[in-house]
Amino acid sequence: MTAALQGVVTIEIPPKLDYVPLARRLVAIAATESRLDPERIEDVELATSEVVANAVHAQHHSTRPDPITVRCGFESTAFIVEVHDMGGGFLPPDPAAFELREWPSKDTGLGLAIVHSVTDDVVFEDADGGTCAQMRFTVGRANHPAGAAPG
Amino acid sequence: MRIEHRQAGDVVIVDVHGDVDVATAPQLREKLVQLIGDGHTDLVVDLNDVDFLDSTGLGVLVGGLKRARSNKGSLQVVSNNERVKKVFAITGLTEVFGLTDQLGDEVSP
Repeated sequence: MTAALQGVVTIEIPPKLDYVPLARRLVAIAATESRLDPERIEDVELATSEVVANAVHAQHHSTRPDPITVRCGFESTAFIVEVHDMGGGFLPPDPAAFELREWPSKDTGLGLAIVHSVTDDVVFEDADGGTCAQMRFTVGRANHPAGAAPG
Repeated sequence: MRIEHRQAGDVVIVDVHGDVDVATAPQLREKLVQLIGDGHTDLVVDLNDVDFLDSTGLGVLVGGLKRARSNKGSLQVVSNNERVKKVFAITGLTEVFGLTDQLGDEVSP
């Protein structure tokens, strides 16, 4: 899934939740070099936090000590974030995972719905014994209005 | 993250400072469980000093709301931060928490 990007920043973090804030903040700083609007950079930070947290959880279950790799950079029209874990491979998500379930069962499973809402595209693929999630944030596209998932 | 709480009439205000995310949300969960367990079932969680909220933090609030309601109580959330409010809006939880920008007069300091 590795795309040809410019201004590439690659971060490796230990597969521990304490490092999730560091990863999201560094990616948000890298995103300031793109032409994304400030509000979209907030989306980058939120989505990165969710996906990196998922990666840490996945790797925790596999008990592998490999780092989580976060790679980001920009194409001509988009900022791209890739999160690669070694959590033993990825099971394609049930499309329902992207749909918010009715309250009061909403205390779990919110992360993927948030990611789907604030990105312009997100793809999960098996990669090198783990999973690579690639998120795309299109430059110049308006911030998704709160409460409205992208079409 | 730093959490404080104070009594305001029949309600307990939980003031949260800092990021509420996958790394810190367990502290908030512990505080809410403790307060409700101690009989403080009507809570207002003030997120006005929170700049970042993720799905784990939101899940903790949902868990707190369920726990409060199961004890015949309530849990309301306050935030004037557009970034935080957006997370509630995306997930359709704004109304569930009665999200408002500021504390009501009856519980203001």
